[in-house]
Amino acid sequence: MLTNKGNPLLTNSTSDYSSANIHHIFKHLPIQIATLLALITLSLFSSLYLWVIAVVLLLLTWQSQAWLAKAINSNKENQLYHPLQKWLQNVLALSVTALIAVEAIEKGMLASMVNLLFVATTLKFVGATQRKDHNIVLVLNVFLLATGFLFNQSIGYFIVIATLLFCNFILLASINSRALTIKEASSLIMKLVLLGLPIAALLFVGFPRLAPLWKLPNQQHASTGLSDTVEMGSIAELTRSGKLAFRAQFLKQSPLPQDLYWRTMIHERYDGKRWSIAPFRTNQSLINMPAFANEDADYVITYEPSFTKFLPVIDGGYTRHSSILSLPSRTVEHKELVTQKIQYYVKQFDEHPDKFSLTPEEVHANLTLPKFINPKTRELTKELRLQSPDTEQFAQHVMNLFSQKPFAYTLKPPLLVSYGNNQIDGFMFETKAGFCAHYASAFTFMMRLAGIPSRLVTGYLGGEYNQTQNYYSVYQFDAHAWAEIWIRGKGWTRYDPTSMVAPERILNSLQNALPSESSSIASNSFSLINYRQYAFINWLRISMNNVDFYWSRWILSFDAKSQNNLLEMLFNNKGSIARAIFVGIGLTVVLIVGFIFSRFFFANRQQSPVQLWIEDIRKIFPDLLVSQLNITPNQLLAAVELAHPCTKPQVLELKGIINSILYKNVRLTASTQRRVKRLIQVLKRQQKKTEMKK
Amino acid sequence: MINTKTYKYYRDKWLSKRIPTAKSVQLSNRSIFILPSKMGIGFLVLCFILFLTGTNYQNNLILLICYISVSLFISAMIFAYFNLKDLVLSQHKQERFYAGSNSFIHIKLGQDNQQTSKNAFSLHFKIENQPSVSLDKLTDPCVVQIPTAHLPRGKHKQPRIKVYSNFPCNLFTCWSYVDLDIHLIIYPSPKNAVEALNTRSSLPTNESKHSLHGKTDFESIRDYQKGDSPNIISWKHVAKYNDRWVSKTFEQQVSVKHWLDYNAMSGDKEARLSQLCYLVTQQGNVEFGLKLPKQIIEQNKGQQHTQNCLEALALC
Repeated sequence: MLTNKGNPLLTNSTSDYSSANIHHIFKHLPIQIATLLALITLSLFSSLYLWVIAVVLLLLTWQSQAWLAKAINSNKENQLYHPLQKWLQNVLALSVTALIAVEAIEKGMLASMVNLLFVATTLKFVGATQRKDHNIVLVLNVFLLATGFLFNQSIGYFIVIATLLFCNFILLASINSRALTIKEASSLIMKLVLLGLPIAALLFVGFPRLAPLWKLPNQQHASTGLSDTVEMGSIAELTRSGKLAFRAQFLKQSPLPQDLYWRTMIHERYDGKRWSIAPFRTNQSLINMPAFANEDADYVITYEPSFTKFLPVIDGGYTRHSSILSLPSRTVEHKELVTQKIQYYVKQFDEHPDKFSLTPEEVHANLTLPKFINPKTRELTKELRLQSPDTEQFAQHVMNLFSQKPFAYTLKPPLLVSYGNNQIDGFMFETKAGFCAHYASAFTFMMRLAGIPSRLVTGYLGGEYNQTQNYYSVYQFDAHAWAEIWIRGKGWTRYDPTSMVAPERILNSLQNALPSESSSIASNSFSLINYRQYAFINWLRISMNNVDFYWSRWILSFDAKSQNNLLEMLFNNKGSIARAIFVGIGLTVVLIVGFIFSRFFFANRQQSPVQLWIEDIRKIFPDLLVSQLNITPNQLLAAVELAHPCTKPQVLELKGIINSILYKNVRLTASTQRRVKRLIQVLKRQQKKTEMKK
Repeated sequence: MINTKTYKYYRDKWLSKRIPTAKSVQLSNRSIFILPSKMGIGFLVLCFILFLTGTNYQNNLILLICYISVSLFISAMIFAYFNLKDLVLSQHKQERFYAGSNSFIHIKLGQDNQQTSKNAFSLHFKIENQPSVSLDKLTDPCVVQIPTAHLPRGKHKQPRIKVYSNFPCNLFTCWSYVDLDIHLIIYPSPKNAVEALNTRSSLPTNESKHSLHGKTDFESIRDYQKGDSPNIISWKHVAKYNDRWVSKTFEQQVSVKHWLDYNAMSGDKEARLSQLCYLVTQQGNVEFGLKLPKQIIEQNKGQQHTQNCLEALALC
């Protein structure tokens, strides 16, 4: 009975993984899925608990061994495959859940949810017996991979996750279509993704960006930005972080490097140990700033998540971003903690409304000091003040003090804790070594003693300039502290006492200012920034920086606002109708293209090899057979032989091969194919020779 | 609440208009139905959760993954449709089975045109309430064997065959119901008539005094001679002797003509037909005729004749 014309793939099966295919399935797929899960575990390394990773990897290894044993002994009847025992699975699930719940108190809900989901997926996989289970695992994997982006959004990480996602889809295709080899499955998924990419791009650009639908608990994250309090020494750790703080692209001319003081926070309250933000600032009324178009902005900042509210701007900068407030202290503040990359356009104004006036509150806050502390400094200030009654003269005097006396700039200053509330005395007269925070707080302290309203400002100084794209990358180690004093007629004026000690810190970035004791800027020795003296590595780093810049600028901070701008640009209209038309037209085009595209995939347009050979031979002898289009291969070869008798041996051999394939059903092997190609080449050469003779 | 019976009635009525009965059906947009599979719905739920997560954490990359998944879902739909499109189904041959044995229908797949062949993956075929048959990959025209229900004697119109596929990634189920106008002819189940006949003296013979008791009526075996009919080769012995071909010798095998008579059988109608069926299959190279209540088949021999007789029994 004829049921199957040489098709070995025909099977009669009713259930998943029929007995005929059970070896084929279990030999490869679970091992592959296990490998993928292990890779996903490693890719989420930073967001998973170490013990969870250990449990997952152990389970996977243990189970893989069972599958391998099963695959090897697949012909032995008694070697049955045992998934993880149900009761053991339940016990494991319960205990892991309990442990994660305990951790959740400390590490926050989000991380715990990811961990929990991860363990659940692994347990589901280890206990899987059917294709259905594997399907569930592979679908859950997509979510697991996506959660990685909650913790890391760099382009490198995106590539890793995208690759794993691709592998995940390949496995999804190959467990559901048994005939597909891994190679075929990957080409299938490649086609699906390529076909889908325009749709994905359209959705990304055109689908409305919604505001968060409900409030989520804040992510428990180590704050990496500037701290809202300054203690002598607390910035020391920050300066050693090579993390990017933000990037600023200047749309007009860029200022001189020594003017790049990115003001972020003002500290007006001093308690003898630390500087903090004055309480009256927290509920200040906002000031209205004139609106401006994005094109009129001076620069645009792409700010990395800092988990604080304060944003850096150059003094006098303001923004019209709807979620950013401009404060009377001339700083700008995000309405909520910055947990994602944000982008804002900044314009410098010429005349700040509060430039020449000071409220009584401000006067009070900027003159108040704890009584009786730092007696030596008080003494010194009194002396200096007597010498120079003019405010500016006095300030310059104090600045000079730092350059005249043997002060040193260091990121590893001696501890001042033993001085209690007299830390400034200890710094000024004993240790005489410190970094920006020390100099700035000593300076501000002395200004206040002299009756001059003054405050400590923290932010960033400088940045690394990228010439090709005209932007500055400002890193966490660019964090800086300086002072502002109130000068009648001039308003708040910046004084940076650090410049007196380490002028190169102001002109260059921090890397150059540091003495040899800390040649390594970033605490991570792998950071490429440590090798900036090598031209190639530096070039590589800067190129990677550029890619990352575009990544942040166009992908990560593409929000509702950018979306509207784009639509405005495309349609001169940002209404929802334009959006609907945009998405609609796009989707239609994509679907039409898809239909055509898939026809190519399913129509088997392959010509038989014989036809291809005949085509080739025809091309070699174009003048021979113009009139005869429908002739058999034999007729063609006979004509070739007639016209070029020297080709007789090749023609004879070709005839033999073609006839055996066409009429004797001889299978075409690779070696025959190679032989035919060689014969055709010989024909070509001979044709060329005869042409030369002519 | 519509019960299954009325649902099926209206469905079949609708289907017969949409996909009319034909000897050969080429699947097209008229006949292919497509819906997300269970897993596909799960996948969409996942996409929705990704969207919520991406929106709530204002995370563009999670949204990007969500959109990539959605676009994969859409392109899977297109691929699922083209997987079945242009598939040609036709009946491979007329099906005949004995009652009580497993019966199948054979469907030829591929394109009529031999020049181009159709690529398709993970095809499943199923007749309602019967186990399905899977074909992992279709590249050349081939024939699939689909089990049918156990059927009683007679001629049976086969219900629509469901052709479905979950390709690719099991996100969509793409299916069609085709009616290839297949009729199964089920012969009566052959029952040994010897005992029945022994109890009665009269034999259905006219011209021969030799009984024709099936296997028992050959006398000996001899070496195969060129020209022997395959019907008289003793296959059992060939198998036993390995390569030696042997033929059965029948006494008076030449010119034995006789009638198989319905009235000569015992029992009820089905029993009689069963016995006749058995006898018909045992006739070998003997000329015989068949007398049925409403039909007489003239004496003849050969395979075609045997088949005609069996068919007459099936439809009696």
